[in-house]
Amino acid sequence: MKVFVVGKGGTGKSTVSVALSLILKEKGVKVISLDPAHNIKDILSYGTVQGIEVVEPDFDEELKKYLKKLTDTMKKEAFRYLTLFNLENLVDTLRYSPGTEEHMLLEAIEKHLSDSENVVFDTPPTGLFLKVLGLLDSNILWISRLIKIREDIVKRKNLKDDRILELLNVEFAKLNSLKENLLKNAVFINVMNEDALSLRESKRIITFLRKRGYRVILNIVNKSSTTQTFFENIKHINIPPISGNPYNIASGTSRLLEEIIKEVNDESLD
Amino acid sequence: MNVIEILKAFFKEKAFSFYDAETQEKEKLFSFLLFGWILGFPMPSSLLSLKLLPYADEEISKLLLIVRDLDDQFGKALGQFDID
Repeated sequence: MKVFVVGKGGTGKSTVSVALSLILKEKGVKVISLDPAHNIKDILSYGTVQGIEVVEPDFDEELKKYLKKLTDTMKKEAFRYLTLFNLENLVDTLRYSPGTEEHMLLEAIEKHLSDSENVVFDTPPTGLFLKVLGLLDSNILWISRLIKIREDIVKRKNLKDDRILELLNVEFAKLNSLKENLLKNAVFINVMNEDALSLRESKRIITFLRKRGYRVILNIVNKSSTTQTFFENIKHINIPPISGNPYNIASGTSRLLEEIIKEVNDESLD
Repeated sequence: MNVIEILKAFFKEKAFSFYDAETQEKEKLFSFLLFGWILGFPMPSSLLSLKLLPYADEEISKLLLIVRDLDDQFGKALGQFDID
């Protein structure tokens, strides 16, 4: 099961992510925190649970490594006009380029989505996460247009091999395969509270995801004092407020979720 | 060689010249779309352009030609039509 836990900030996405990992841990599970403000390890530190692998990537560090690799490749590829730029400064500026954070998140999703075990993605707040998924679609479109222009150039110049076209095609195939993988293998669980803002944001998330063909299989109404259903055509569960330390809350949530998760997991595999 | 053949050769050469100029412009456009940020245009660099950057020395050289030619776009257009 590859599951993305989405929802408004503060609704309990991380708690639900830990709860899901407790349910899935027997068959091996990895929790990936895509939220730069990680707190999965914090929650688990209150318990003594084993068998859960937690990945909390340091996106700044990942980006630094990525740009270092890039600079080295550029030097190896004997950049002829290297002297025109102060390369280190140029690359340093790129760290602050808009969209870089979203790209790094997309890379992290791609890296872990192909893992063979169960993976729970604890997503960043809605705005950023929807931008990341939107970026995937816009990148596919963007690269397909670039490929068309490049193919025309290659044809006009009668070139046999073109490294740039080759790399564009590789990138296009990679993004398409990620999209296909997300549509086919990933499921989304929305976590909301009963307040009006949380409801509005949930509507936006669910509409966004469904419009793009993603499967939203469950709506969790967390810290709920009623049994109210908010979305007619999605399975739902109301989780009452649970007291105790963060791990106790996650553990209590997992007991309440266990049955419905097995049910939606079986259905999603059909 | 009769007049018609001379004209044919002349127009053929012209056609090739226009075709080359059009191809060059396409290459510049392609480079600009990916690496316009290097020239200081307010467009974000995508990770895609970073991935292609190590292999794009030729593209970036062409991009720099845009800057060089910007001073004399009118002259360049006239030159294409052999007008001095």
